[in-house]
Amino acid sequence: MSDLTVLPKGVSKARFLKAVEEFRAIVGAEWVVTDEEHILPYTKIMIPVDEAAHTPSGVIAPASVEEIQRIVGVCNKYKIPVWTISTGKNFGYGSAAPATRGQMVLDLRRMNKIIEVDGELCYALVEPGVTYRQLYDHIQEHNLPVWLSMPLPSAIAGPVGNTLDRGVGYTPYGEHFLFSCGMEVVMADGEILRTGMGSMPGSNTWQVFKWGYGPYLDGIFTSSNYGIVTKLGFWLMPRPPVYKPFAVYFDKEEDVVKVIDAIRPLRIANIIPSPVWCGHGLWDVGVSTRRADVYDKPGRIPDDVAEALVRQKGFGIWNVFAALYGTEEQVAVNWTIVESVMKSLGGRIILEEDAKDDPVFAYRKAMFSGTPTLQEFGLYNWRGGGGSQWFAPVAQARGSETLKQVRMAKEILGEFGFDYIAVFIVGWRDMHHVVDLLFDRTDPQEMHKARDCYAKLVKQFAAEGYGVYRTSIANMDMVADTYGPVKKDVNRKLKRALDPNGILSPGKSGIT
Amino acid sequence: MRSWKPIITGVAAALSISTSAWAQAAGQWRDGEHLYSHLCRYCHETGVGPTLWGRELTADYVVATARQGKSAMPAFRFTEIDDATLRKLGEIVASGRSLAPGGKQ
Repeated sequence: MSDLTVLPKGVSKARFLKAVEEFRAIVGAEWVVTDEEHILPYTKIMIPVDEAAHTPSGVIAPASVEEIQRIVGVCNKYKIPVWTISTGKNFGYGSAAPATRGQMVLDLRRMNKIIEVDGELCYALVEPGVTYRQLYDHIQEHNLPVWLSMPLPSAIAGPVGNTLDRGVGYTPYGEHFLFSCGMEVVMADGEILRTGMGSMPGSNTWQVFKWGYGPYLDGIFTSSNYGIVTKLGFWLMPRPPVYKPFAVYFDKEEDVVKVIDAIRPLRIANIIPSPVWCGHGLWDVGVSTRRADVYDKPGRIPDDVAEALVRQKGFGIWNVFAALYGTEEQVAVNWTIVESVMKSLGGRIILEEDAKDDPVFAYRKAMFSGTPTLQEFGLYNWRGGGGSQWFAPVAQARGSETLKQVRMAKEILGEFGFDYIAVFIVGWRDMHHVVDLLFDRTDPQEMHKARDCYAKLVKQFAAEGYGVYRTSIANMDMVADTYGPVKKDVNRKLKRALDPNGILSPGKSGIT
Repeated sequence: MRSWKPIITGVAAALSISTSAWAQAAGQWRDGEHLYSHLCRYCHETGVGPTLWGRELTADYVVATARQGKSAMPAFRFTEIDDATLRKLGEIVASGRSLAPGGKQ
């Protein structure tokens, strides 16, 4: 067969071909591909590593749970690993590509049924191939009184993949895994587990009560490779009568300390119920500006140049964005509190009526109301060349943590010549300090530097006790090491028990 | 004054919905325009990516770029967009007639 590209490790060509034949018998010949043309889109990555290290052997695209059960049977028989994706839009983390070369991608995009959206209890149950846009359309068409929460690649990504990778959105339901309720999982031996109340025959509480009886298992199927999640339930926010998005601009770099200290109590008490975006001004500039048009030297943009650029575009050095939701009275009361706090800090408050046609305000307004937008991807044009890797250390929501992390990140980025483009997203008591390491993927030297820069960021931050919550397919072992040997050992024991042949997404989160 | 009340009564009228939405995986896009309005336009109408109109792009180029991706543009797989719909979109682009914002002609 001339169309074979990569064989799974330790599997002969003859056995691989036999397995492919059996996969085709299960899902239909057209839904198993091993040729270069069809594999190519699965190798399109933004991270700074060679595609060859992550090229799959092929793709299997099942249409049902029953087909997946039979597929894992064949995988166990021939020791063929499958890397499961839902919509495959994990940009800056590896997109649809597997952690190691020579896995079959198990592409669940065809399984795209919205099984249920309950407008009274406000929950949804969906398959992995459902996109946020599809679910959004469903809610609009049926005029259901609920809102979604979605991450940045909203229109094309989906809730199952995002939640399982513990991604976040921007409404009060933005901590997606926290608001998930019930999973269906195909285990490596083909058994079907329904978590929580879903295990009980005849139960109708699968999507309303998270815990069930006995150990709570949902967590082990996130950021992991212990099963193939084929259905996910999650709660939806009731559509609020009043939605009040707002921005507050702050003009000095050190303002971030007092801003986070002031936001923390508002956030913990739910006076601001959404996550709070506190982004560096260069991010806002980068969304609609090409770097080459405003700065033509190599190396990290110096702070004074960045500050001048930010001012010129009318942004602050730190720009807060958040929203209030509720009845008119609730929003009015909470806004009085928020406004007085923001004014006392010396921030410039921008409301919807002030923002007029500002595209940044407009797309953040969409983000914070769970409306699909991809405007944020304008950031990829800042440097150009299609390179991006997210570095997202977690911090306590304390002002004192902000400048410390900002300075560490700037120093390391500067050493390799990359700009500090970042945001603190205040979840509840935590912050995700999300840094977009942007580089030109067409420049081999920049690729190399970006790879080394990311590794140094992970190591230096870990040395200060800061861990990242998520990483790319190329750095999973490195990040697993930062969480210590016992965690790795327990992860491995679970893997041996649940997937003794190691057929499910080997390498995910450093677990093999 | 707006309150939760109309929403609560609205739910009662709508009842609980439990249906399957139309699927939009491979082979299930309605046509090239539907594909454009539900996918492409998010970047190609907002300045994130270049416009598709008035650039004399060929259908082959549109198809190949969608499948391979380009720079920051992601690649779209055979499970997301079927060959026939993608070809139809390529033909609309190549025809020189542009779709209005949002995809309606």
